Amino acid sequence: MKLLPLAVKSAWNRRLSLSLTILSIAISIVLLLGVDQIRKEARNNFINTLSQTDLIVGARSGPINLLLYSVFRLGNATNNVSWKSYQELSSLPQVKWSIPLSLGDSHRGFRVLGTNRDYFKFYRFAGHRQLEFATGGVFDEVFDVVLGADVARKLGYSVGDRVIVSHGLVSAGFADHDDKPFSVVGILKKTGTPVDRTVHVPLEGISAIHVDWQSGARSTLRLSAVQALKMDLQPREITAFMLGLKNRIATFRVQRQINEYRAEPLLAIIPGTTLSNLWQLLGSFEMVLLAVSVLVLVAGLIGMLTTIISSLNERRREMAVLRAVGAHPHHILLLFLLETLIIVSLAMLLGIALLYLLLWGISPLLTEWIGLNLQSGALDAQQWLFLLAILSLSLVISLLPGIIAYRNSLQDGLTPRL
Amino acid sequence: MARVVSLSELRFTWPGSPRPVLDIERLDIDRGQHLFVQGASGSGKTTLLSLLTGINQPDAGKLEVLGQDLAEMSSIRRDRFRADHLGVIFQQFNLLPFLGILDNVMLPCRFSPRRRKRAGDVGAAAHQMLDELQIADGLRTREVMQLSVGQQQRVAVARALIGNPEIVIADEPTSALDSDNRDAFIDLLFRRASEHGSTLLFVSHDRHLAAHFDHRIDLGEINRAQHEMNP
Amino acid sequence: MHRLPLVLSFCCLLLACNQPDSSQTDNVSVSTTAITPQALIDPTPRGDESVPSEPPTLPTISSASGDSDPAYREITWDDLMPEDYRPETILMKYMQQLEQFEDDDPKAMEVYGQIQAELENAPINHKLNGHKIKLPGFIAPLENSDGKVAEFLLVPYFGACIHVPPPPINQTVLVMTGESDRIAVDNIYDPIWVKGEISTEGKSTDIGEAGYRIVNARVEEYTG
Repeated sequence: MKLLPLAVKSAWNRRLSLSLTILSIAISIVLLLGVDQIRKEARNNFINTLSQTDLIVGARSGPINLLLYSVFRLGNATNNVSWKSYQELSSLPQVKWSIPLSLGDSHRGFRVLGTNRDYFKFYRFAGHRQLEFATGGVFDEVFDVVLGADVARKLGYSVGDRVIVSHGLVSAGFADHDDKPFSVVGILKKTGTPVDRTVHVPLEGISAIHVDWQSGARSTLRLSAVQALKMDLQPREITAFMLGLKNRIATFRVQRQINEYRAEPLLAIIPGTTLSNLWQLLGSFEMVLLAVSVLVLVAGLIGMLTTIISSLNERRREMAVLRAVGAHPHHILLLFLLETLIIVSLAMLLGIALLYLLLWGISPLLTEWIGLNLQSGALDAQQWLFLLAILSLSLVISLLPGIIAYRNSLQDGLTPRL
Repeated sequence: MARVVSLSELRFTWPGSPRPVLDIERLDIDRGQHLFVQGASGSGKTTLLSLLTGINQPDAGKLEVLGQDLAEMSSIRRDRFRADHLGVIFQQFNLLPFLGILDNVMLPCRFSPRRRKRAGDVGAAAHQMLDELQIADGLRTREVMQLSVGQQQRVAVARALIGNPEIVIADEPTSALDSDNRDAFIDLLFRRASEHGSTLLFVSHDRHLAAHFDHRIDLGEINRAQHEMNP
Repeated sequence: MHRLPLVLSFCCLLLACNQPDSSQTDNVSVSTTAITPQALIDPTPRGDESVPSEPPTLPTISSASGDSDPAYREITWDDLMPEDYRPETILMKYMQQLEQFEDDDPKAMEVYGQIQAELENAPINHKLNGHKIKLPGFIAPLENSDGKVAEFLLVPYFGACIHVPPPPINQTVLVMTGESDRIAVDNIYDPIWVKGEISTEGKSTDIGEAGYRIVNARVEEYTG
């Protein structure tokens, strides 16, 4: 292909302005592919987190807020649910099973969930999948702990290790329940849900470590673990609970009953519905993000066009030389298309490289902040098609300077009048 | 064949122009000639060259180059014809700044398989041409912009002659050179053109250069379109 | 460092307030089938706005909306109530008591509560069991599969206004769709046609009859 080396060398000659163009298009490609990647991963993560659960109940707040803190471990409850209400409502005739949830503590950045053995029995995700143990088993004693897969992996725990729980969400050392350590009895298999990043303890364990925290701060009494065990560890409050009903058709009725419960202001949500609503919301947000990314791409392409068009005049002599040695105006046009091909191809390679770099860099941060587990695999077919579309679009718009150059060289012949 | 260029009743008008810019009854150029065409600016020399090189087509008349009628050819064929049989030298800016010296010399072979074949090993042929045009080895790796105008013009000649095209057209090739170098340049051009068997068509407004040539024409005289304008 | 999830939640909440599904909203986008205290006393025909209200019997020929698939009989929400069931009779029972009170008298609230409980325990129309029917409605998603809704409750109206009771058991259908009929998340607020074989047999439980169920349902856009 006789023209390609010419196009390459010509572009290399103008490499400063072209590199900036390449960079700007590369950035827009990072944005487009990045948004797409995050969107797909978020879909896989979020949407499969919880199944087969009819109601989630918490103190009255907003439905999405309740979903986020109870299932995704994001955000916090503003208030708690009394143990009495939990007992009463979970004993309703329509209820088949219930799982209590107690949140608020953390261990080295991972949230601690107080619950009971029913959690491991009834929790479902991704349709019908159950929680399974990689090693060990469910808790028996007050100070037993079951770790999610990512917790164990990141912190290097195995069955038998000791775990100290911090009060609140951040450990700063001085608010640790270090006098009452837990011991790991089980580690769950990876689920791809927030379960992986959770530290599970029995409800009584939460009560035990808070035994001398009743005023909100550690009291001077300092009860030991052994002493704590002797006290009544039944929780007085929990954060939220999940319900499975005998008949799903009764869902609305039970939901209404709980929402109108007089003893305490509570909110019952249908997680399938709230999740779909959340998903729909994110979808609109996603659309906006995608639109912005497309606009950034358009800006990048216009920038490329500007760079090329502004070089047209100074390259008219070059075109005359090429015509003198036998080039036809369509060769000139082709040179411009080739140049665009080079620019956009390099931009794509750079963009993909930057994308992987970025994903590798921010992935752990995203996991910690919003629970998103990004996997940087290869680009999928849809993404390749997308890149192909961008390439085609670029070639089409490069016809503009190409055709101008074509006509110029027809007119100029061997002697451009500049 | 003996006649390399033969044109008769050649007429050309630029689109939008009321009058023809070129109206030539007859012009013949024989093989091996070094022809000086004197033309002041505005005499139609640019147009004539554009017709001879196949860039434009005449409105009327016959234009035969190497026995082929350019008026009958499509633009693509004319461009190929030019690549195959013509070498062109401008007054200045002959070379592509983004290519090396050697690549510039080899350029015609990229567009003409015929010339590539005739050149044989194109790289070696390029070095050979640069030897003939007295471009030192050390200069050959430099960038175009680092050469003097005189050196650039000689590289242009090397490019025009690589692969032995039948005709070389030079449009004011010495006008950018200082007078000391002009004669030497023309001398070199003559010798190399003859060695490669090329007919030379040298166009210039400078009548002092005519002395070098044994064949001369004045475009202002043979171009009837100019007679009305300059009676 | 944990502010980001809070900010996200906050933004979600703000946006959620604009979503019609918020339990605080009064927006009911279809003409209301809500049972207001007034309507209890003055019964007007309820039902889907697109199909004229009919007596609760199964039509033998598909009606107004030009169903192109004769295999499925179009029914209305009224058809889900047995013929001999008339909410008005329940009202009549309590009418006298109600007339004694002002609307916001707590004793009136109690009576309404009783009315509500009775209405909610409304019986199932077993004549429909095994029929291939077609019914329009809105969905409350329950399960999704790869981001598309695979199981949902079908109800007659959109949005759960807190001033009215939720749909009674016989005005709710549990639907499970076939793989190709799963509903994309963009469309969860749109009304749809559900086509399938409706069953009324279910595991009998101590809360009464099981309720309407359609398995392997087909779903179509509702265009009116």
